[in-house]
Amino acid sequence: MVQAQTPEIAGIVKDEAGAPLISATITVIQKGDTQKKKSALTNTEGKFSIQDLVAGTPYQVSVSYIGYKTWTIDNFVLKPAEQSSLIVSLKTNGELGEVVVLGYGKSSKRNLLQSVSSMKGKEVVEVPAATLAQTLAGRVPGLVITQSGGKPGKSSSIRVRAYDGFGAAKPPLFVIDGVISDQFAFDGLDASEVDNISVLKDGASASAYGVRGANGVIVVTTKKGITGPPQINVISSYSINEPTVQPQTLSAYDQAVFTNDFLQQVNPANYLTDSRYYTKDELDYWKTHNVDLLKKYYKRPTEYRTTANISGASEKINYFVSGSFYKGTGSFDNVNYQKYNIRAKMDAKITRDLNIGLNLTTDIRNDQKPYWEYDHDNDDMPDLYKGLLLRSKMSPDYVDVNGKSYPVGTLVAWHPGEVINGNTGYNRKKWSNYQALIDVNYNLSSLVDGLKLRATYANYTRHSFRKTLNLPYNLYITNRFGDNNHLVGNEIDFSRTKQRNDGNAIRESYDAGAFYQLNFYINYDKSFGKHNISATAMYEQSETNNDAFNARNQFVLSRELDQLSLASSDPSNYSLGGSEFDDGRLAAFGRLSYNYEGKYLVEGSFRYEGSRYFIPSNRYAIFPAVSLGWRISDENFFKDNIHFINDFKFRATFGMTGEEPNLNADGSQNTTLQWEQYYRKTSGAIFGNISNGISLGAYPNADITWAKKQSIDIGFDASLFNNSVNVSATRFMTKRTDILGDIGASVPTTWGAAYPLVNFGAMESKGYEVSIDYRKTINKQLAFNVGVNYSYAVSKQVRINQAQNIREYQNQLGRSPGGIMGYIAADILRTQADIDALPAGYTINGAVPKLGMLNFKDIRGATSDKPDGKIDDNDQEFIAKYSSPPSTYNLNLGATWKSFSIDLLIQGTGNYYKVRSPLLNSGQWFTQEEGSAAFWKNHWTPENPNAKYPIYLDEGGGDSESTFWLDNASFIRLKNLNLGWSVPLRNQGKSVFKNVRLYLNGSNLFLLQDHIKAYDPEAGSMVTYPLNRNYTFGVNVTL
Amino acid sequence: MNRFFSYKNSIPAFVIGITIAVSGLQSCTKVLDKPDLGAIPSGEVWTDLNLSTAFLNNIYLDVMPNWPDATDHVSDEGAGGGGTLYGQVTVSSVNYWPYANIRSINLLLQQVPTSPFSEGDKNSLIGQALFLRAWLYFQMVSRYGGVPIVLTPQSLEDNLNVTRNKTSECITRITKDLDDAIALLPAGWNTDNAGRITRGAALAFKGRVLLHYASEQFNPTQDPSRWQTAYNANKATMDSLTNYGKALMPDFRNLWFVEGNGNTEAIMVTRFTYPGRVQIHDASIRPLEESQNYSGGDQPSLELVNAFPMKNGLPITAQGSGYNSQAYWLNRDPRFATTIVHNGDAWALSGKTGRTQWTFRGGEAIGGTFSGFYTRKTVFEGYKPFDAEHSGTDWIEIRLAEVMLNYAEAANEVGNVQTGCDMITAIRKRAGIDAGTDGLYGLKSGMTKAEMRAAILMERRLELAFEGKRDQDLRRRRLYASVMNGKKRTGLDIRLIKFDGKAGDFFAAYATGTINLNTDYFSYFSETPKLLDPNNEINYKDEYYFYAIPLDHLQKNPQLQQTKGWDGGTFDPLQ
Repeated sequence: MVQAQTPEIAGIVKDEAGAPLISATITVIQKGDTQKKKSALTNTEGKFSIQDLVAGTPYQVSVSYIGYKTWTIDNFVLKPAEQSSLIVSLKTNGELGEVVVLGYGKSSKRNLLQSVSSMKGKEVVEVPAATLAQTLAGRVPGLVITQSGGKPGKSSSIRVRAYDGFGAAKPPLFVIDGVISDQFAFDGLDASEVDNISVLKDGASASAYGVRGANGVIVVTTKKGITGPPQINVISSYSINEPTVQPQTLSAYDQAVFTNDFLQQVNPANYLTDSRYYTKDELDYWKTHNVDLLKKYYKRPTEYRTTANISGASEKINYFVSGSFYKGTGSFDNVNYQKYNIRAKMDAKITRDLNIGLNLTTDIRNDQKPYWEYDHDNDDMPDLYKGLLLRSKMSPDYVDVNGKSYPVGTLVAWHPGEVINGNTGYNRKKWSNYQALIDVNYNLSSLVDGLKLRATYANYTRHSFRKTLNLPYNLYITNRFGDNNHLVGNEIDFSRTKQRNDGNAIRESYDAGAFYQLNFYINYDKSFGKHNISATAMYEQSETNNDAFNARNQFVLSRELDQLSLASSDPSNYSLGGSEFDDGRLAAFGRLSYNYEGKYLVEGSFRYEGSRYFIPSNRYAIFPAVSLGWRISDENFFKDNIHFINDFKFRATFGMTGEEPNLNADGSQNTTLQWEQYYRKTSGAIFGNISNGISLGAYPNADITWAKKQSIDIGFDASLFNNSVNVSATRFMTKRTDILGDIGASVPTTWGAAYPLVNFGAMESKGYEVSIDYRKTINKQLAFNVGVNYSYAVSKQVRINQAQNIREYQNQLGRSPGGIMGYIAADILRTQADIDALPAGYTINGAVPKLGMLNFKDIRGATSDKPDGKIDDNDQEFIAKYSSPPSTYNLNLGATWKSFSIDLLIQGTGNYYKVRSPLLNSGQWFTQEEGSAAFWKNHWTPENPNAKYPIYLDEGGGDSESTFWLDNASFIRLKNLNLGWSVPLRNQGKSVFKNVRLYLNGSNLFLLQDHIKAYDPEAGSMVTYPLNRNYTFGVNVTL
Repeated sequence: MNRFFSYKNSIPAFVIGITIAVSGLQSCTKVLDKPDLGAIPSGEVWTDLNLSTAFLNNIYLDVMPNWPDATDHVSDEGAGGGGTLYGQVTVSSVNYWPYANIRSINLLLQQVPTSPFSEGDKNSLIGQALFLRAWLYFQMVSRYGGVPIVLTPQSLEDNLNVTRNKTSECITRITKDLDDAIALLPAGWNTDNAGRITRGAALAFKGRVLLHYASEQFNPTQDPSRWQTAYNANKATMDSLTNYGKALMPDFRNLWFVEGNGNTEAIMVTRFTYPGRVQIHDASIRPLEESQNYSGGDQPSLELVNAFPMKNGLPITAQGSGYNSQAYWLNRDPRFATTIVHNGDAWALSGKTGRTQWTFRGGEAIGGTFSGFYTRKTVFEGYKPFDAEHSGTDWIEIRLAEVMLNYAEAANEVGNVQTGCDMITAIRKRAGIDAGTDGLYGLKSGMTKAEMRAAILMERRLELAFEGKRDQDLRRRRLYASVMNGKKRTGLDIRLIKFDGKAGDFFAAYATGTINLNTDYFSYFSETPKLLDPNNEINYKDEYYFYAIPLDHLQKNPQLQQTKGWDGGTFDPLQ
C-alpha cells in the first residue's frame, strides 16, 4: 500500500442494498471557509477519492445523489498523511429508503421480499393510551386488534391475519430490541420510545422465530440518538373520555310493566293476585322514582400523559434517554392506572471496530380498581358493571338518617355503591420490570472485509405484586309500602341489619420472573461487483425461572390496617400458596441473502430450535424459508418503455413456522409437560380435618411435536409517478399441519381420561392484502397523503377431530373455525292463528308453544332430515360463518397546510357476527333486585302483537343461540383524528424552542357504520365496562 | 496503515470476552432439561401409601354425593324440577356420565394389587374404590338403565366402542363390587379417617340398590324374587348395623350437627368443613335476607306442609285429629316444627335471638319465599350469611332411618307387614309423636300390605323430607302419574290485612307483644293457595323412568344404543 503525502479521503457509495451508486457527488468543505471546497463523483464501481486535504483542519463531508437523502459528517479531521476510507450507504428520499427491521436483521424497504408491515413510533406518538397495542388498532394491515373494554390498562387482543390453529386465536410473538418477549412487555412501551414496529406476517419472515412464529411476530426497535446536537422532546397531553355507547336499561317503571306482562301471560287466570304483580300505585311511584346507579356513580374518565426524552449522537457516542408517565382514571371512583417508563440507551464506539451498546429499561405500572369477588379480576369488570347497569332501579341506594348515609339492602343482596366507593376494599396491582441489554459489536473487516461479530445479552426481571383487601359491610333494611309492598321507604329497621360478607380477607400475591437471552451473531455483508451478499449466523439461548407466592390472612382490625401482619393472629386464618416454573430454549439461525444489481433477489434462512415441551429424543426441529424477488423495473425493456413506474418488484416467499402446545390464548405458557404421565396435586375429600388429593394428569403422548405451518406469499411492490404513489399487494396461502388438538371430540366418552393433545389437525388459510398510498406536496405550504389498506383472511378446517357419528349439518370440515351454531329463528308466535298453524304436538325445546314465544325453524328430526314437528338440538345450523372479522380495512388521510396538520384514521371490519350476551337475553329473573336491557320494552303482549321482542318465558329456549340474537358486528369507525398547529416561533433558530406544536386528538370518535346499536360492536358484551371515546389536548415541544 | 487496521489488538479482547461468556453457559441439555416442578412422577404414586391414599381422596371428592340440589325438586316437596315435571325433557337433558372417575378407580384397582403395601392397606384402598365404583354405576343405571361396564383403564389402542350392558348385568356387577367391598372394608374408622366408607355403608347401599331394583321402575311386573333379594340384603344390613352399635340419634333436629363417629345414625357421610371444603346448601335454603349469593331452595309446598300429621300421629284430615285451622302449626308432629318455617315462626338466623320469620307479602326485605314457607331442617341457625355460604355441615347420604324404612318396605313386600309397623313406630317414637294407648303412634292397626306400603312411603316423605329421597321414591315406584300428573303444586299467598297492609306498622304493633298469632292469626293475615306451577300442569312422561343417553355420547360411539322410548331407541332398560 502506497503511503500518501497529504491526507486523503477515499471510499465507496452504495445504496441500501449494497449496490454501488454511480456518479454520486462527494463534497468536502473546510469548516469556517466555505470557499475551500473540493468535490468528486463516484466511478462505475461507486468509488471515489479526494486528495490534497489539510491535516488537522475540520471538514464537512457530504455525499448526495438524486432520489437519496444527503449524507453528511461534520468536523471530520484528518491526521497527517492519513488515508481515510468511507463506506457510505445512502438512503432514498421516499419511503423506499426506509429500513425494515426483520428477525435478527434488517432490510431496506426497497429490497424487502417478505410480507412485513412496518410502522414508525412517531406516527402514534401523540395518541395517548395505556397500552401500546391500543394505539396500533386499525393502522397495520393484517393486524387485527380488538379492545373489548375501556378500563385504562386493559390489554387488547392482537392477532395477525386469520388465526389458523384450533381454539381461541393466539397472539403473535413479541420481540423487543431482539429479545423475545410478550404482549405484557410490548404494552408497557410508550410510543415515544419506539422507533419502529415491524409485523412479520408471512412464513418467510416469521420463520426466523421458528417454533413460535406461526401466529406472526411483532418486532419492536426502540429509538436511538440521531447525529447532531442534543435534542429534547416533550409531549404532554390531557384527555377526557366517555363511553362510545352506553347500554340502555329498563327503567324501574318499564321493568315493572314487563314483569306484569310476563305474569299475565304465564298465569292469565290469577296474575292479579300474584304477589309479584306491580299495582297501579307502585307503577305510578316509579315513574318518578327511578334510580340509575350508572348515572349516579359515573365519573368522567381522564387520561394524562407526559413523555420527555433527550437524545443526540456524536461520532463516538449515541444516546437516548427517555421518561414517560401515564395516568388514566376510570368511569367511576377508584379505578386508576399509572405507568412509568424510563429508558436509557447508549451506544459507544470504544474503538474503530468495537461498539458497545447498553439499553436499560424500567417499566413500572400500578393498577387499582375496586375489589369485587365475582369479577375474578377481569379488567372488564363484568359483574360489577352489570350491577351498575341493572341493579336497584326500584330502590334508593342510600337513605339518610340523622345526617348519616346508610346503604340500603332492602331489595339488593349486594351494593355496587359500597364496592365502588372503596369501603369494602381494593384490588391493587404493581408491576415492575427491569431489563438490561448489552450489545457488543465487533467489526472484523480488518480480517475479512464485511465480517462483523455481535453478542447480545439481555436480562429481564419482572415482578408482579397484587394486593387485595375485601371487607364486609352492612346493608340496612328499610320499610316497604305500596299495595303489594313493592316500594321501598326510607325508615330503617336497625334490628334487621344484614352483613354482606364476601370474605373478610387481605391477600397478597407476588410473582418474580427472571429471564435471560443470550445471542451470538456473525454477520457478513459484501459486494463483489454486481453481486451483493449478506449472511447472518446466530445462536440463541434463553432460560426462565418463575416463582410465585401468595398469602392470605383474615379479619383485619380496620380498613386502615391493611397489612397481613395486622390481621388475625390465629394460624388457622392464614393461608399461603405458591409455585415455581422453569423453562429453557435453544436455537440457531442462519440467513443468506444475495442479489444481483438489486434486480434479482434471493434469500434463504433456517431456524433450528429445541424445546423442553417435547420428549428429549424428539426435541429439535428445523424451520426453513426461501424468498425470491425480481425488480422488473430495472430491466431495460421495462425502463425504456414504462416511465411512470419508478420501481416495480415481484416477490414470492415460502416459509415454515410452528406453534407450541403450551401456548395459552393470552400468549402465556401452560407449563405442563405432556410427553409423560404425571399426577397433579389437587384437593381431596376431607377426613378428620385434612384434605389432600392428587389426580391423574392428561393421558400422555410421547409423540407430541410442534404444529407446523407452511406459508406462501406472492406479491408486488410498486412506486409510481415519481414515487408519489406506492402500491403493494400480497396474496397468501398457508397450511398448518400437525395442529395439536384434544381428541375428545372423537373418542368414546366412556374412555374417561383427560384427553392428550395429539398432532392431528390441518387447517388452511388464504387471503390477500392490498395497500395504496399517495403522497403529494403541492407547494411549500400544502402537502397531503392518502392511504388505503384492505386485508382479507379466512381459514378452513381441513383435518379435524369429529365424532364418528355426526350428522352432516354438524360437519365442521371445510368450514372456517369459529362458526356459530344455533337455531334459525322463525317468528314470534304472535297470535293464536300462528299457534294453530303449527303441527299437532309441536314442541319448542320441550315446551308447548305459547303466545309471545319465539319459534324456530323445524329443519330436521333425530333420525331424518325432514322436519319432525318439534324443535330440538337437531334443528341447529351454522348461523354465522365467522365470529372474528375476515376483512379489515382502514383509510388514512393526512394533510399539512402552513403550520396546520390533520391526520385521520378510519377503521373498518366486515362480515362477522356475535351472539348477544345471554345475560340480557333472559330478561333476568323478574326480581326487584335486577332489571334488564331497554330493548325489552318493545316486547310482545296481546296488545302489542307486532313487537320486536318476544315475551320472556323461561321455557322454549327463547334465549338460546339463534339468528334472533345474532348481531352483525361489522363496523366502520372514525378511529382517530389528530389536528395539529405548530406555533410560529419568532427568531426561528435562535429560540430555545425548535418546534412547539399544539394538538387535539380524538379516538373512537364515532361509528360510521354499526348494526348493533345496543352496545359498541367491539365491546365484549353489553354488560361489561364500556369502550371509551377520547378527546385529547396536547402539546409537543422540541428543544 | 489506515484506520481500519489500527486496532487489531482489540480482537483478542473480544475473543476473550466471548470465551468467558460461553464458558459461563450451561450445557445445552441443561437448558432444555427442565422438569415440571408442579408434577408428581407416575412411579411414586403407587409405591407410596400416602400418595395412593391422596389419589383415592381425590376420587372421593369427586364421587361422594353433595347435598341434594335444593332448587331441583322433581317431586311434590316444593317447587322446582321444571322441565322434567312439565314434560320438557329432551335427549340431552340428563347428562350424568362419570367415566372419568370410573377410570381413576379402575386405575387404582389395577395398580394397588401390585404395590408394596401391606395386605391391610391394600384391602382398605381396594374396598373403598370398589364401593365408589358401584356407587357411580348405580347412579347411572338409575338414570339410564344399563350402561357400558368398563372395569379397566383403557388405553387408546383398545376397542373403545363399548356397548351398553344389560341393566341386570349392571346390577350384578354393582352388587358384586359391593359384596367384595363389604368383605374388605372395616366396620369403622378412627377419628382421622371418619367419613371413609365403612362395611356398614356398603351394606346399606347394597340394600338401597336392591330395593330400587325390586321397585316398579326396574320391576314393573313385580317379580317377587327381587323383593326377596332386597329383603335379605336389607335384613342383613339392619342386623349388622345394629351390631356395630348404629342407632337413631335421640334428637331429630340436631342429628345433622353431630359429626364424626359420635353420630350413631350416620351411615354414609360426605364431610364438609370450613375452610377446607364447604357447601352452600345452608345459604341456598335460607331467606335471602339472611343469606347471600344463594337462596330460593327447599321451599316447602302446601302439600308437604299438610302431609305432616298431628302430634298424636293422626293425619290432619282424620276425625278427632285436633287440627287447629286457625293456628295450623300447633300440636303437629314435632318434625313439622323442625322441618317447616311458617309465617310468624321464630327463627333465630344469623344468631339473631328472638328473630321472627315473616313470609307474608312485603314482610321480607328482599326476595321472599315463593311458596310461603321455608325449610328449617339442616339449617344451622348460628351461621351468618357468609358462613351459610361456607357451611361445614356434613351431608348424610345414608342414615339409619332410611335403612330402617328400606328394610320396612322390603319386608312388607315379602309379606312381613309387622316389620314395617315396627320400623315406622320406632321412627315416630324418636320423632316425638305420642305413642297413644295402642302404642301405634297414630298408625292404623291391622294394616294390609297395600296400606302399609302407603304408610311407609308417607313416613319416608316426612322423615326424609328434603333429603333428595322423595324424587327417588316417586321414580323407583313409578308414582309420578298417580301422585302428580295433571296437577299443579301449591303454596300460600299470605297477605297482611290489618294496618292497611303496612308491614312497618304491623311490626311495630307486634313488637309490643300484644299480638297473639296462635289465637288471632287470621284477623291479621289472609291466606289463599297459590300455584307453584302457574304455567304448566305436571306431566311426567313414562319414558322418563329411563332417560335418553345424550347425543354427544352416541355420536362418539356408534355402538351405543339409545334407550327405548327416545328418538330411535332400541335398548330395553328392563332387561
